[in-house]
Amino acid sequence: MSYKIAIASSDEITIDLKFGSATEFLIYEIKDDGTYECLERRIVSERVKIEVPSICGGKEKCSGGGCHSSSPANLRVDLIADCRCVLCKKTGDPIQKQLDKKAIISFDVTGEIEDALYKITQYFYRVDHHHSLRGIASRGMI
Amino acid sequence: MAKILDKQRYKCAMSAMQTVQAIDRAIPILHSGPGCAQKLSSSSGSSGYFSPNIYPCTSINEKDVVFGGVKKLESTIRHSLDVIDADLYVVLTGCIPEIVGDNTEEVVEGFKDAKKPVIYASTAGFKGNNYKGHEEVIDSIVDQLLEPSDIRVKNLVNIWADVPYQNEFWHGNFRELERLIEKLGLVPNIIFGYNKGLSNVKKIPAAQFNLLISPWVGLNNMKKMEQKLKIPYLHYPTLPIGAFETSKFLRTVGRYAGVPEEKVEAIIEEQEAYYYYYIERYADLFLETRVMSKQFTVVSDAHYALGITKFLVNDLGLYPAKQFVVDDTPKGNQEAVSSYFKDLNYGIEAEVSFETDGYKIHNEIKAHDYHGYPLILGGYWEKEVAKQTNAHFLNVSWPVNERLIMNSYYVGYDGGLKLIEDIYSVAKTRFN
Repeated sequence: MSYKIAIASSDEITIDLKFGSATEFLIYEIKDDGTYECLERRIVSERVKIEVPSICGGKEKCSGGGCHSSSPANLRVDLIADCRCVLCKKTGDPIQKQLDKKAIISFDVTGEIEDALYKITQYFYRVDHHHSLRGIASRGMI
Repeated sequence: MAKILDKQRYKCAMSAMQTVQAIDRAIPILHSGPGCAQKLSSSSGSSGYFSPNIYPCTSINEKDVVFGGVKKLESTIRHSLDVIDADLYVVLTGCIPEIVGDNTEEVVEGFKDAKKPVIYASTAGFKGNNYKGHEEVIDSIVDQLLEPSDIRVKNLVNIWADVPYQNEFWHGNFRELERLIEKLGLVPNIIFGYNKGLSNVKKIPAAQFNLLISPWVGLNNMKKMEQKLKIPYLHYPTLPIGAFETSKFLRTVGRYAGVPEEKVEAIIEEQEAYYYYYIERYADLFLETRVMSKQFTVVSDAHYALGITKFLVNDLGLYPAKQFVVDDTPKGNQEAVSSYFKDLNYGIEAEVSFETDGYKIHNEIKAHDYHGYPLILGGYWEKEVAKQTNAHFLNVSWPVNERLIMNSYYVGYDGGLKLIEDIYSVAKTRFN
């Protein structure tokens, strides 16, 4: 079955945004045969930016406690609730818990979107088809 | 058919972190998922300067499976070198990085100029148990840390015997073996335990020979050292417990090392006089304890099963029922190990079964007629079957739950007396 992947990117080439400071998410759809395409750019609305203020990526000092923790349900999480996983530069612990609850896997990675998508789709394909993960990490890394 | 994990007798290969910890000031760096050091929580005697709770670990997760964990491994090693003051860092790889194919060798190679040695051993759980893991760690020390030596120190002997922590008597056994070898005028070199460490590891290549006291664990290491470091080895399969085997042991080692026969005989005479003095003093106890068992069964790794079987037959005059070797002895070694059990005094041969299924072992014990109270020496799991069969039970092998072993030992003349003490301490609790 096809599934969606959300990616926090500012330039549509690299994964370069932290979850909390993402202003938009690229939504990719991965089809059964492993091919994928970018479906849409999901813009984080102004309302979300105001209601869930974040110092992620800003100049203020990060306390590391997770600035998104105050909100019981982060609106950014709701925004990508239909995705199987999210790729971004960094995800705080509280957000990860919220994503876990919705069974969304978060991968903290940087680098090219193409590389990451290749690896992730390989991984999900093997998991979904009960294939061994033998040697999956040995073809380079990000 | 699916099998239920029952009565665990050993741990996975990665438990060789115990072998690393037994070398003073050496620390394992784990490249594994979080919690792999947790399996050591049931062992005692592993606290101190380093303990399993502080072993550095890459704690790899799903992301590292997809994208590879080598970056994390590199930073974990680098930070370990910064933060932990150790003499030797041994990277141990668990199942996950080995399956997905992280190139640990390449990462560790990058630290060859580090201020302290960093080596790695492949200890994925699917490769085998901690006896194999122990061999892997020794192999990696030989491969990555040691170079052939131009100097041969006469009479310097490397001693290899118990697997640290898995054989709970390892501390005392090594000390007693050291003492026995010293008596022969040789210079023992042991890398594990008190007051040893990397300086002893570095002495390995200069030794005159390796002495392996173990039925099969370590045999591969001896072969590797013979090949790489050109050190010949003497393989003495039986852990010497009590007078008969220890005297035989001293004669064998003495002959191999070129110690004059008169000297060896003089040592043996002195030691046996001391040993039999005690046997004589307590002979009435051996004769009068009518509830004492006539037949015995050992459920243990090959090392202890063999040593104890020989002692109980040759020294104590008991008769062996079936012996159970539960260390998952490799198929290639099984024939040799069983043949050692056939070599007992008075023409007695002990039947031995290589079985790891506790349920089957217990059923066989229950079905056997011991002609009196059975004597069962084994792991804590045998307590249950001992109760059911009204047996005398002594916990000698892992898991050891209801007794504490710090520095006592079963090796040598004194060790034999200690084992008699322990066995009769159990027998004497029964109304005679």
